[in-house]
Amino acid sequence: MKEILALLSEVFKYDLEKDRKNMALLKYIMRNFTDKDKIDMLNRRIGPKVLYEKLFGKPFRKANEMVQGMIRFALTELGTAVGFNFDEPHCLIAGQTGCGKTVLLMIILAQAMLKDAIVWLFTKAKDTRNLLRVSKEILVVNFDGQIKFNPLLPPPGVDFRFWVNCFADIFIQAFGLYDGTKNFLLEEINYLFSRNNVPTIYDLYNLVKSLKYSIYSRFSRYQESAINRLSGMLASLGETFSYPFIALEDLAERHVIFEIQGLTSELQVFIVNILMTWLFYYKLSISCNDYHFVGIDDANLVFDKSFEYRPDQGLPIISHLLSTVRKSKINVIVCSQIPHQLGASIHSNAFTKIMFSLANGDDIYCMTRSMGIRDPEQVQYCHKLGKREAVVKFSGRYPEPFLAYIPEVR
Amino acid sequence: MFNNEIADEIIKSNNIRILSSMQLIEPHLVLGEISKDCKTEGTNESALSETEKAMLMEIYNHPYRTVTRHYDNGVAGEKLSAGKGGRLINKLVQKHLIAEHAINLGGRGGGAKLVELKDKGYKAIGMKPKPGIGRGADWEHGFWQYHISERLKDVQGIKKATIEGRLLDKFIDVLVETENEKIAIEIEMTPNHALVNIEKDLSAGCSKVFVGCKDKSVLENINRIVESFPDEMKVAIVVCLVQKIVSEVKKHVGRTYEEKTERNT
Repeated sequence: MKEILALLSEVFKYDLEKDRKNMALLKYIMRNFTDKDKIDMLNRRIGPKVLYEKLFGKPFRKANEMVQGMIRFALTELGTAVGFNFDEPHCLIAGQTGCGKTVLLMIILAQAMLKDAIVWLFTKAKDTRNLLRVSKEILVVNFDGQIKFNPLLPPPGVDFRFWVNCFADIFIQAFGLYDGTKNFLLEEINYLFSRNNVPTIYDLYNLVKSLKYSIYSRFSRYQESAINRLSGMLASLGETFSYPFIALEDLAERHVIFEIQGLTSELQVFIVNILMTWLFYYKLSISCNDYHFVGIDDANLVFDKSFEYRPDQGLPIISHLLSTVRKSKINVIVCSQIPHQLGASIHSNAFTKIMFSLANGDDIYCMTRSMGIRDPEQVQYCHKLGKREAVVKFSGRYPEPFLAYIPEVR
Repeated sequence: MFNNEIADEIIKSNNIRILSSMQLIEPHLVLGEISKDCKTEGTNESALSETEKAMLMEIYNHPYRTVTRHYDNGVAGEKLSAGKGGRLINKLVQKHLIAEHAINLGGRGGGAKLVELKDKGYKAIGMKPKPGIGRGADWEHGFWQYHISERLKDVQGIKKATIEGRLLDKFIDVLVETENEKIAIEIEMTPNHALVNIEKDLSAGCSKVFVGCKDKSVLENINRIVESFPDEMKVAIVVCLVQKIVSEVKKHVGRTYEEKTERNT
């Protein structure tokens, strides 16, 4: 009986059940335990293959057709295309530098564009501009003032008081400020909106600067902090936030690449957060049916774990957004070199997780835990992933982790 | 993946191509003009100068005068130059005390600038908001009623030109009374109420109805409505642009006045 059970487990472990003769023999043996001839026959049939797999095979099960999806990005060991669907948000791609994360991100976004989804990409690398070779209808915002927008204005259909709260939350989180300055800013932005329906960050800066408080008052300290951050922001983004600007709702209907490499780390966090939040509430308010794919290349700054450990601020907005943007049909695709420093939100909310080779044991440990890889052989294998080789894990449709290969793009 | 990245110049020209089809939002206010005095919240009345207050009072007393007439009339007994007056008006607009309206009066002069007191303006001079003269109609409608009635008052043959004149319990935008007929003037900012207004005026006993239209599209729409009327009604209706209504009424009244004097002699 033990022999039969071992046979059974080997047949399924090494995907030998697809062979019809193997299955027929197995069924026969299950009905007639004592037929030694048939047991030997099956042993002879599967023996060499099992031996080969044990010696040279991969410890992951070969994935079947269940892993197919609309947005294809890799091939399984059996040559089946691996992909996820529009209604399966989000995706985390982890890998060391040069392993092909950005290329994979571009493959995903290019397909999304060809399938009529709208793509926004936040990137630090200029080579993502090559997406223009897929479609010329992509705006590239490199914050040099050619393309201007105004993040202080609420999305259409959203009450300005609500948006002002979101803006203040994101501002203080990005710039490391505290509650006092937040409430001070809230009051001033609300005052600004009561005077002008279309205020800009310049107006806010001028207003805050024009206030006169006693230098010994706490208000004076809040004012100093606000002026300091606003002037820093305007020094880098002054041209981008000035008149005449494009309504963000126009940008929301186009493919846009935001090249954030020239901004300070605080501004990068601010820009990604404010634009994603804007897009989320905009899509909620207009109940839009189009899908948006938001790619964030090198997302460690934005999803930094440390943001989740600031007791004075609670959960960062981006973490909250990841769990709710699904309702607005926004799929977020995140690339990271140091996944163990990412916040829990992306690990918890990503439907698709892709792990390329990683150099740091902490990262591998974090990703194997995140992907539910417990088998010691599989964990060991994650340390020696080859070029263009990745471990993929879907949350729902095919819950087993499996190996996939990214085809070479020439 | 790709051999070389796309150059900045190509990106810029591509951006320009896409941006050309997008609408840009222009400034509503000059940057940096909003400031707030922390010591006094809301509208700072004490910050208003005497000249500004006097100008607000002038606007309150003569709400439908053009700004040049306000300058001529002067504030605090002093006539204002166009430059000084313009700066004063701009300041009041920026403080949200008044709103500007540009109205085409027709003729060679073209556009005229008028100003309307806003709630904050009324507060600043301590006066209650004046009810508009057009029974709930907008400011521009009220202006035209005032403008037309003023210009028709001194025309020979016209006894009276009354804003919101009442005839058989019907209100007419401007009711013009001559010795032997009653003429209705209706000002239409949109074609929506033209049909009702014309029928109401004719049924109230007006022998002629002049319809002044805000612009050409309103004129075309109302002409289309009038064409559907029977011929005997069409004769009693004149549709024209609001800028031309005074001359049309003058022409009509002049003709009937001459006929009458000829008969008398």
